[in-house]
Amino acid sequence: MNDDQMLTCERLVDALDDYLDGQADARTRTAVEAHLEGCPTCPALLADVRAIRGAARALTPIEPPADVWRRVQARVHLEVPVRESWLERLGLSTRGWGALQPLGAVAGLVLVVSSLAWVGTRLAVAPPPVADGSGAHAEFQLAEAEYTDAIARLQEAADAAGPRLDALTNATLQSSIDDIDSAIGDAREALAREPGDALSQENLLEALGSKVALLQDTVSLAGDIEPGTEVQNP
Amino acid sequence: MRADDLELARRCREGDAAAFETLYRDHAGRLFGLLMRMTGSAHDAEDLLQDVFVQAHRKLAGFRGESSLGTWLYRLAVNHCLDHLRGKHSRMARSTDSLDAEDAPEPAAAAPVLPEAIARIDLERAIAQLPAGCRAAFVLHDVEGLDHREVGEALGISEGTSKSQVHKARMKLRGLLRGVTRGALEAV
Repeated sequence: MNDDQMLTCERLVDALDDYLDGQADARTRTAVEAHLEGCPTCPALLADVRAIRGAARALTPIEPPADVWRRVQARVHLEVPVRESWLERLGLSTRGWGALQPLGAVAGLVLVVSSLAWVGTRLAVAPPPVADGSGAHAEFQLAEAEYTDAIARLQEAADAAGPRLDALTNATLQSSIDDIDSAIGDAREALAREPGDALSQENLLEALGSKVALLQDTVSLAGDIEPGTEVQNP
Repeated sequence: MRADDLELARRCREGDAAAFETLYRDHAGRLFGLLMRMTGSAHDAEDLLQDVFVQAHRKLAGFRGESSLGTWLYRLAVNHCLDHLRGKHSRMARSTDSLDAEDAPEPAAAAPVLPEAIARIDLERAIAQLPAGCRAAFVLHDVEGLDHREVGEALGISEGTSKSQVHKARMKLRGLLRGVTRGALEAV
């Protein structure tokens, strides 16, 4: 074996996994074995790496504490009927999208959102589809733009509706908006790192959709209330 | 198998609580093990596991059976965990980098320093003591069985960096586990 074929201890590391997995080509295998024969320390290293790998592969699942499942259950139960729970918690019922009719500026927006198949659906169970294939990114950008536009317009309507809601309701809604904005920020950060990542795109559209629906609920709530009347919380 | 997954996903989407609990019971152990080893923290792993299943509940409408439910959940968990670690790393980058830089190389040994069979509990405790960067690469490669290309893609690093990170983790583990009895590691 000439000098070019000789492995150093450092270069052995690169070939180690392929060698241990039996996937090294013949030339690499020969070079590794030649190095092991002449090296005073690498055979011991190899044996220890073999032991660590073997023990690592044998690690088993770890059961989480029982209360994790209870916390998952609680969060899912809070999320699933998100629209209904909002209204129930506030002691109100919705009259549906008719409540939006007095807000003429919002009517066209409802059509936009309807086209995205989000209106009236349960937020927790209906994330928007992100198509696969070459057109997926364009569809994502279109959906994001429509959501962003919808949010801007709904935000104006919600700001106008705010004074008709009591302080507790406004605070509760704002807290949820803050949570959603945080999720939107996280998704945008992830997309800045990997613009084409389908999961991050889905997360962003889901968070934007949640914000649209919550703002719609805000506007809808205000539409249920006679101007100048404060909501009485239960 | 795939038909079973589709049926379970359908039942979950329709609000069948028993089906969702089945999904959790079937996969929580594997995912919790992954999250605990990746983060080195039981507390973080519990929070992340909750997030993963809440996310899964939201996203089941998009599950089309192209992979098994287990693989789908696993991907959710790895991505969520990596987002968590990136956020944590960016907050602690300076201290982590300096800690990594201060590590002295393990001295070479002429004979193996580890027993052929390493006790599971010793290895778990030693993994938890690894620096975050090389711990993630080690867990994905040596525990979860991803190859270096896949580890590189998951962590956003090159294949060569994955190899060096995994090697670094093994050498640190070798030092941590060298001559250590179970009692000694438990006292750490």
